[in-house]
Amino acid sequence: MRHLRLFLKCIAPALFAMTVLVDLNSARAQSDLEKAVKAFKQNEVTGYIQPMADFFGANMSAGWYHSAAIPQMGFSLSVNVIAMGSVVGDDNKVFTANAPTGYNPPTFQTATVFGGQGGTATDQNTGLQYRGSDGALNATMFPLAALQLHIGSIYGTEVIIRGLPIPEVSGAPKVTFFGIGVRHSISQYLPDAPVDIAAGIFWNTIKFGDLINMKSLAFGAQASKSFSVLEVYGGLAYESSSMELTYTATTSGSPNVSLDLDGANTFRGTIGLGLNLAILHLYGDVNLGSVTNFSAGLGFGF
Amino acid sequence: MKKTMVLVTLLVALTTMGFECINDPIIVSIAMDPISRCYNINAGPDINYTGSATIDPSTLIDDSYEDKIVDARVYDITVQVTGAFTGSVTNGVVRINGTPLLTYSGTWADFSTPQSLLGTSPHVIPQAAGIAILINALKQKPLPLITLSSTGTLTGAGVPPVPSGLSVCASIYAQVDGNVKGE
Repeated sequence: MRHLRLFLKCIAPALFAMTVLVDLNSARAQSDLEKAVKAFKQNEVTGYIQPMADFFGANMSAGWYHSAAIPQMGFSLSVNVIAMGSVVGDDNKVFTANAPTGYNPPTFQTATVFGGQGGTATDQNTGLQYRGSDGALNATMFPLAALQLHIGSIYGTEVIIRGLPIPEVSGAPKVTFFGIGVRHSISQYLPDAPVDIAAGIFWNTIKFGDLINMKSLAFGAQASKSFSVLEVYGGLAYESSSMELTYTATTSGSPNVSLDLDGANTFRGTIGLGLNLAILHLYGDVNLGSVTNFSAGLGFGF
Repeated sequence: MKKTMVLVTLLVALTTMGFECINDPIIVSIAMDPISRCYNINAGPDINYTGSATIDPSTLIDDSYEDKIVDARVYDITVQVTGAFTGSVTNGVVRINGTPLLTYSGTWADFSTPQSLLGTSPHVIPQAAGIAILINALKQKPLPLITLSSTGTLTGAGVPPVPSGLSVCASIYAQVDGNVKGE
């Protein structure tokens, strides 16, 4: 219930932003999150930002489908509003950072970007202290949202295009999100199959503020079966994602930061349930992998 | 129709809920460039040396943090010497605005590598009063100028005269906390 509440709380602004607030509030030069990240040198930032790379990657490969039924021929079109969220666990809120050379102990626990107050290293010999920065995001669910268009179908193939420009909202940076996918009906070759089967490949890119560029690629198979207005669907997918982080640090020494971080998810299993009411489709699913992820959407189409 | 209304209501509810996902405050801890000065020791008959320099701490931190500092700390101080000398240094003191920040003594060779407050070096001893003055200075808005000075005495190895080419360097490693939430 707590996850659901925070999911709604954090997804809502993204939905709101994409539908109402485009271009509003975009004058702020740097978001709070970007300012927090820029306080880290290259050898310090990995632990702080890694959970965000994991969650972005998991979110980007979510919500691509809610059925495996793809007509062999004929025009079909649906417009979907999709929200995705990755569960931020307690282990995603702290990381082990290096204390300055000579400190005993040499490492300490401090906040990731999703953590609370920064931790403090205290040298046992002198009592001198070194502090880690606070987390910037207070959430138990890391959200993303997209407008998604499904267009088909030719020989059982549909194209999916998703994207969204989200302006800077409440300290979160501006987000530019684009993705494209292709799915092909497998069940058209298996007329006796008890379920609909499809396979697809999906690619995304996200620019998150001025510092972060994410890319992801996923491919897998899906299956679904309808029971009146209800449709159960699921799938398996291989995926990869990477975060390119580039900025000039505001802390002492080595100001230019440039590094690539891989997202944690490499494989996911998806199970979901949809409600199909004429042209209206409501659906939600859970994605299990290294990162636990939820997605839900509302679609209009035929 | 009823279901559609429920869904529309749900979306409206979603879009009007508050967004409180950014921490407030967001305190970031910034390592300043080292507050560092080297003092040349004059060659000649005087075995006592002294040196002083005025430092503007605002030049050691990114401009964007200067008005956001809420706390500060010293996380290390080191003393190092350069130049060839086989004697010792005694009664060494590094001062901040005239108040002792650190005392040091030992053979010249001991200080050929930086002697840190960290670890178990017996050659450098922090002075709480000076550290407090430095921390207080780093928390002021605007950041005030500070004076870093060092004194000491050379002994052994036939001094006087003091050989040429000797210097003592003190480096203070400090961290400031700035609140980057909002503007």
